Amino acid sequence: MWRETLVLALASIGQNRLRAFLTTLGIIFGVMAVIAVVAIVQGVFYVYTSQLEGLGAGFMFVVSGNPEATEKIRQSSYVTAEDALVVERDVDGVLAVSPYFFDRRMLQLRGQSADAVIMPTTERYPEIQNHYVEEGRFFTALELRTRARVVVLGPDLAQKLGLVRAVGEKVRLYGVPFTVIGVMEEKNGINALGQPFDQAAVIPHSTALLFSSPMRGGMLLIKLDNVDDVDRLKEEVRRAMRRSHRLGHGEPDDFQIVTQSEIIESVGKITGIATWVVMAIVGVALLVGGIGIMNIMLVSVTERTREIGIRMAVGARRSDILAQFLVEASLLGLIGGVIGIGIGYGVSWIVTLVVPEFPPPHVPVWAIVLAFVFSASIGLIFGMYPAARAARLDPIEALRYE
Amino acid sequence: MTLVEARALTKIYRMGGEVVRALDGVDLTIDKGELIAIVGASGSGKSTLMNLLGCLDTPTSGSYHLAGIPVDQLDDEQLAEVRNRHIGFVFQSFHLLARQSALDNVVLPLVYRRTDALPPEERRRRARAVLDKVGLADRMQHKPTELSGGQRQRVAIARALINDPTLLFADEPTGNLDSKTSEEILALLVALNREHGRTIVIVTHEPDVARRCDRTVQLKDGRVLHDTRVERTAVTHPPGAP
Repeated sequence: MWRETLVLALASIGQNRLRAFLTTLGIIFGVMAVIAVVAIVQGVFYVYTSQLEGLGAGFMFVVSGNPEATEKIRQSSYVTAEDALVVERDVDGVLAVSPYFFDRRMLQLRGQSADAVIMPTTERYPEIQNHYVEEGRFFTALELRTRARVVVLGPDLAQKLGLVRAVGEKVRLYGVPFTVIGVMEEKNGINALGQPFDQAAVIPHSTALLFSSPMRGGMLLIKLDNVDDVDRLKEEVRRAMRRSHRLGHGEPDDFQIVTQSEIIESVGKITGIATWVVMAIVGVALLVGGIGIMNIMLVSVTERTREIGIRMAVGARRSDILAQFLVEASLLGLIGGVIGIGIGYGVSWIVTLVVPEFPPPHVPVWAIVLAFVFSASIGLIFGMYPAARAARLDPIEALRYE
Repeated sequence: MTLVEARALTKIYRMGGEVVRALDGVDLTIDKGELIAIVGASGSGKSTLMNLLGCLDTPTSGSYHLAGIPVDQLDDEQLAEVRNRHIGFVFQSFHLLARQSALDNVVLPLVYRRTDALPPEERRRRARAVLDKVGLADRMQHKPTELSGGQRQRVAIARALINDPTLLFADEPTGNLDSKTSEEILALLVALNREHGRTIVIVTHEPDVARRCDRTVQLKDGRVLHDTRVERTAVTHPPGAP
């Protein structure tokens, strides 16, 4: 019976393709908008989180300042290279710690210049960021200690400066010459600190401090050995930091510790909110689409009054007629949904191709399932009234209908 | 064997405050194998009687047993089931589904068969057999619009026969047909009665049609005016009958 009902509904829709298409336009646009927005937002989220996760095991960040502290904290309490040493030495379960601070400078070479993200760090950087040298070498612990003026370039920078064989060249940074000792491997996207890998100029942390100071106090990137007990590690890092900053009893933390999963969670929360806001707006569009379906189903019931009468005369029950129109309405919704998903995905691709800042779209399975279920439900719900009207028809009256 | 046993069948409509007694205490018994004509002027109640006997409607009062089933006690869903298994309708204006082939039209009652439902292949096999029996073996895939009036009525008869109904109703079956085609359709109905023992009720206002039946029930103002039986003298085989 269900097979016949389905075939019948498909045939009925097929006989009036243009009308079916126009009817489902509301659903098509609604679902299209949802899928396009979800695909773009989730694409951003997906790329960001997969990069964070792609860095390997667990991470933890220590950043200067503490917006939650009610009392005034010491302005000079930066997170420093010394803190990095203390944390790495004292906390069991920490694999490596490297200090960072952010700086943006121009690199110059023979009249060429390139905008660089300065990445002051330690010799542990390649290991921590899982990002290695392609050509030449990384700087050493000795160079870090002696504040050597050496730089490892991101591949984009080397290219912009027109360097074919970069190693050994001297580029100007902070107004002084730095020797290029290596070029990093190409790695698209952003590192654990939210900076683009390929545009970074990596220099010894100590050297950077000669020319620049951490604007917002710097930070530590801590790579964890063991991700099973992040909460305990977070507490131990906190204690080590307090010791290193010589904070007295009752003094608030002058730093904040953020774990990798907390970052992913907060990014997820933001994209989640954006997604749901769009869904709510689109829900209204789908409602309008549903009314379109109801409208056309009512017309269809009237047009097919005699057909309903004939079916009843040969033994169709009211429930059969009800099912026939409900299935047809749901199918209309579903077809709109399928078309909407297709177009929405296409639109999201076009948007991400036109706007280079957006990563490729990512449509999660839940969005597709939701779009299917929602569009079919819209058809079902708005098909109920027309279907009930069809099922309530008196067979004698219906047969007489011209 | 008694198929139809109706006692004091009454149907009252209310039309804008006015009470219309469309059927007013009709008693009727129909035995298996009868060929009956129900005649009467328009408004005499013959359509109402057919609707009640055909289980399309329920009486305001009175009782109706069809093959032992107390039809007047049934709800809508049960009435649909009885129509499906016991009744075949042939209408004046054919009432075929315009967008479906002759074959699909004939299959339709089997689609709504719940108990002893048949697989799709078996349904189509039976529909082909019945279409063949009414002389439309070569028109099965045609849509109603591609068929002549007589052919359409044959499709309708095939549809009415597919469920092997207890009772076949024909409501002015020749009303939309020319005289030659009318004769063919009538001959087909008579043959179904004579050769296959079908119990057939023909609702008509044409005396020519009524004359071909064994029994004529004449209605007037919702009551039975005459119920006359004609002795069947010989089995006639008009040309064109299968």
